[in-house]
Amino acid sequence: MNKRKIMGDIFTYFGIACILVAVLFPILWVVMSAFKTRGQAQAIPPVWIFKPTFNNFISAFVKRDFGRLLVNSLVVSLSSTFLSVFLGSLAGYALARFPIKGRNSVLMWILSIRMFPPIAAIIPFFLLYKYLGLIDTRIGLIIAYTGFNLPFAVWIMRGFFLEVPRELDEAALIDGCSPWRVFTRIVIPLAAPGLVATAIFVMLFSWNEFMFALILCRSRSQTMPVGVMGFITHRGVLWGEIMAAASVIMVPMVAFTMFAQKYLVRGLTFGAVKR
Amino acid sequence: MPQEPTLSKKMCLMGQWIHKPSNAGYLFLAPAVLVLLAISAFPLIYAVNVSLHQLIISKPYLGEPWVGLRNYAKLLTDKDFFNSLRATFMLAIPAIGSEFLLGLGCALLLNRRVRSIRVIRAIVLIPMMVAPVVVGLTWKFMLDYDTGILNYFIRRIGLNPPIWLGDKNWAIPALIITDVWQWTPLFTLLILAGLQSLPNEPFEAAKVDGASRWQIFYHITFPMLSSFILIALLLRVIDVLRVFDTVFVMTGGGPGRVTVFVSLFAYRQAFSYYYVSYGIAAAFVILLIIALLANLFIKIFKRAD
Repeated sequence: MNKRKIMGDIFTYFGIACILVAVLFPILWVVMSAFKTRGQAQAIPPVWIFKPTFNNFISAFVKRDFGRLLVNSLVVSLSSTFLSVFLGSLAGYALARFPIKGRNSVLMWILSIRMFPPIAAIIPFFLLYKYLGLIDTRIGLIIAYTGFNLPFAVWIMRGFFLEVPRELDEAALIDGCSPWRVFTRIVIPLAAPGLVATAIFVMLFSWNEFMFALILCRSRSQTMPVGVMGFITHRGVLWGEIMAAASVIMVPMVAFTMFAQKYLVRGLTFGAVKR
Repeated sequence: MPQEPTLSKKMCLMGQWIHKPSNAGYLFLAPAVLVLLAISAFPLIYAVNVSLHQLIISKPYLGEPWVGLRNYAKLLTDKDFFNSLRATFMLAIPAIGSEFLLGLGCALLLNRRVRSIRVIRAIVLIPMMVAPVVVGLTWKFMLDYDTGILNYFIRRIGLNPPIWLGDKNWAIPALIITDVWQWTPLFTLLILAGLQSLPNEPFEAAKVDGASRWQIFYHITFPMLSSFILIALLLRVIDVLRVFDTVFVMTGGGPGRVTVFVSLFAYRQAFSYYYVSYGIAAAFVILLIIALLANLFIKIFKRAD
């Protein structure tokens, strides 16, 4: 029996070690390559120990203007995150607390927008934006991202508001507080962790988004995920610059979402699984 | 004849309506609903309309003649469209299948009591957070025929590596590997959440009755996890039909047209060949397939409940 337990433990540790290698190796390999010289990055046999250099970052972000794309990415994703979390929490609160006629239909309608395949939405968006002159503007991208993240924000925030004890805001209403004051002074502070988690997820979606940015932007308002394709040139692939850019796209978001870990299951399932 | 209320009276009534707490909900809801209507209803109606006309943006002189359902009829006989559907399922079925099995295995391992398991669980989820474009580029880099690290290891153990993305038989397997790396964590996460929500009693009862480990897993654990597994499957099926970013950077549809999956098919029709109406029609067919599959899943889900 004891022997069997030891075997089981060895198996568990070995399995977990394999999982960790499989998950982490590609990421570490990208980040390592970002700090290598061009020759080292593609050397066979691979170079494991080397003197790190910042040349790839300097080449990508300073010489090739990728810094501007970083600014675009930041502006677009922060603004759309703010807007969708703001609008989403208002609507989420309404759908959690107030007697709205046809509430379930409204909720299902909102959910169905999220299920819409982006490729079906993008063509009319493109034609409409062309007509309105919103192609290649940050505003255009902010509007699109806000709209497409809003269903998620509404559903998730509604779930968080449902967990705030009803008695608290009912008591405040009876004491003569206006609904708006109840919302900003009582409900929002109690649902703050949920609000932060929602914001992190929405930020992640906008930061990583590719297809809308590819089709709705040219060069002025281009974001990083699309811009990184620019390092694949007809004269060859600039892997060093790509790895530097990829690290900058990937690392901060991965670090960031670790904070929202606890709410990840809920976020990914639209609140269907609450853990 | 009823008296038309004066403006001030109207304002007063509006004020009363707003201040009635039961109506405040509509005011909280209105901004989001307006935004959603603007970004969903208009494009939807517009898109349906365009798909019933023939709009080719490279040939504006043709105008936009009404063609009815002809674009949809053409899709049904379009060999390229069926090939793209087939390619999509050739990616989806093995990818989702392996993600499920690997995810189940990982979840069972990570459910055991091991030191610093919380940190390990957090690390395992990282691939889902990485931008799909970055995932695509990462694997394109690692799968390079001459200088990729994967082929280096394959050569080290004495095998002859494939050209991966450049070979029409290996391009889809390469994309499956990429998809499995990014999305196995979704299954792991959801199944783990399921495992941790299981009550203790049935297991203790089964142990007392002398059930074997396998019996316990097959007859108790697995059925109790089914709702979590179904949610994960549903999310993945919807997502894989929309797969675009990774394919776009890794193969761009090639070699030949082997990896032109349905989203890429619609994209190409609209933005490479400028057959906008046809592209939209294809996108609607994808939407229909997603809706049907989602419906099917929800039905199974309700029965399983």
